[in-house]
Amino acid sequence: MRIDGWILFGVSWAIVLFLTVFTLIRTLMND
Amino acid sequence: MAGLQRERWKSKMGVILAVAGSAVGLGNFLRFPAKATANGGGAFMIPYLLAFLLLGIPLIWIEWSIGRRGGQYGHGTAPGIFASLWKHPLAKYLGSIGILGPFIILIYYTYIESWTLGYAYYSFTGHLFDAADQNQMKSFLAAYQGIEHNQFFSGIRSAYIFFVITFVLNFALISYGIRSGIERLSKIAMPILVFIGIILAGRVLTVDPADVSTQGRTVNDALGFVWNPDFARLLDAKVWLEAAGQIFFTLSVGIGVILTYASYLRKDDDVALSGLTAGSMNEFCEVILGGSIVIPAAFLFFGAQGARDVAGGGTFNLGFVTMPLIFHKMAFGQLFCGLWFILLFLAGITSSVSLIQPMMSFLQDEFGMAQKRSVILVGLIAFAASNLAVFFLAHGFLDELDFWGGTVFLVVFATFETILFGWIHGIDNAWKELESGSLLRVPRFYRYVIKYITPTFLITLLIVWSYQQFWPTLMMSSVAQADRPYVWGARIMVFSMLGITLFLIRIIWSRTKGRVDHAD
Repeated sequence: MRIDGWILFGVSWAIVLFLTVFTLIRTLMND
Repeated sequence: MAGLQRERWKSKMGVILAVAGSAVGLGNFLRFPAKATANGGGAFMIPYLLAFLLLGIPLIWIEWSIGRRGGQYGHGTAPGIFASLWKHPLAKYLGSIGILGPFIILIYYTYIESWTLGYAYYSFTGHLFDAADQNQMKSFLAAYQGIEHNQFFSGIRSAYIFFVITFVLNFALISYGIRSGIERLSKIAMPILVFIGIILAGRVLTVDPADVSTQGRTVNDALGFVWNPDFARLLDAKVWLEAAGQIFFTLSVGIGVILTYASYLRKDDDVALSGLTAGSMNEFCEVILGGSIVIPAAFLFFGAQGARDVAGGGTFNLGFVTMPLIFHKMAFGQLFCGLWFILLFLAGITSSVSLIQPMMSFLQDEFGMAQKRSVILVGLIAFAASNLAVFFLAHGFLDELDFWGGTVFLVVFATFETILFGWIHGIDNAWKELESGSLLRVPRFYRYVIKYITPTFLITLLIVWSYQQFWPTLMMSSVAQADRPYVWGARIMVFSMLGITLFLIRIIWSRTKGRVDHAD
């Protein structure tokens, strides 16, 4: 994989993982 | 109907998993990776993530907000919800497609879902692995569907048995209601689905480069095939539309199911954080899991050209022909193939139960029908209609239902609800609705996104899709002459159902005039 591929892969995964983990933790704290 | 106590979700996580389950479907694992690969690879993620922020998240929040609001007035479906937002006689009729759309999708979706159950069974028994190459695997699928008679199946009997099992299972689950049926199913199925997804992604991403089947292709090459960007493709408007379309379809917005699910929330329940959590879970299943299984595996075992052909060969081909062939080449392939189809089945059943609920809710809320009776009535009508999709599959009947229920109605419905919420109900009221009980500080710029950007996005999609798809499909330009009567049949069925839905709305509103103003 080229470096620009790694960047897009990393950024996309980071955004999705951050959103998933952040929202899940906030939800579980309030459930 | 007034007087009937509406059910409520047992927990926040329960409703989130139910909405996420509704959104996560076959498209997360099949449609997304194929679209990304065919539309610029990693570059596709730029319009995709922008569409998630500007189209997906606002629509999620709109549907959760108006759904919860409708529930306070005793309405779980769009006619009542729209009427509560806009005091105009037309409002309730605009909501008709929020009941009909999911029902039309249900008619064919349970049949496709049943294929995954059948294929899981034939993976574990080894019968699926009797087909050893692309042509044989295609013959297996065609014979299973009853389109061909060959050495694999002599008729549609097996497919029909799995269809009946799937159909009965769906309605049996629904008969237990929101808490004991849908919520319990989602709490069990979603973690298993994610677990299987991680196992399969892990299996693909750890394929040994020394494996003879991969002919020296590495996982790094496979990820590069999916993610290496072609930025020049971003100049093509089609790529942006494909990204917006994918976000639209993957999040289950515009169907009417989120409205219904959210109507079982309490008045002070949060919608902003819950909606975002459900949407994020869907993105996890799509980008992280969906992006790591099918296309990287196709590249590893079939090379760049093979994977490109696979990506362009259609969703069913990808799921039911290519993937079994890939597992055929892996160690413990039968086991992984079985897991793959169980994953798709779980993704399917959590979606199909959500498609049943709007019609159930309509009959229960507006006509005061009891749970058991509504299950039997909806089940019988859906079963009769589904049989047409089963037996006329080869004649384009299913495609026509998908065109109306799965495409046209979605975009039209989403446009209606966005305008009603942001403009007619008014952005100040809409914002109050969204922030009420919120466990998340919603960025203020979303006021402008909901009012201006999301409707603009939707109207653009509506215009372009009308131009690209509506007229050619309406004119049956790619339908063979012999299949046209079947397509006409599907069309007549859809519009007869629309007529009946409008008539039922008229009856109930003439009986209970003004009830919309009375909150629980």
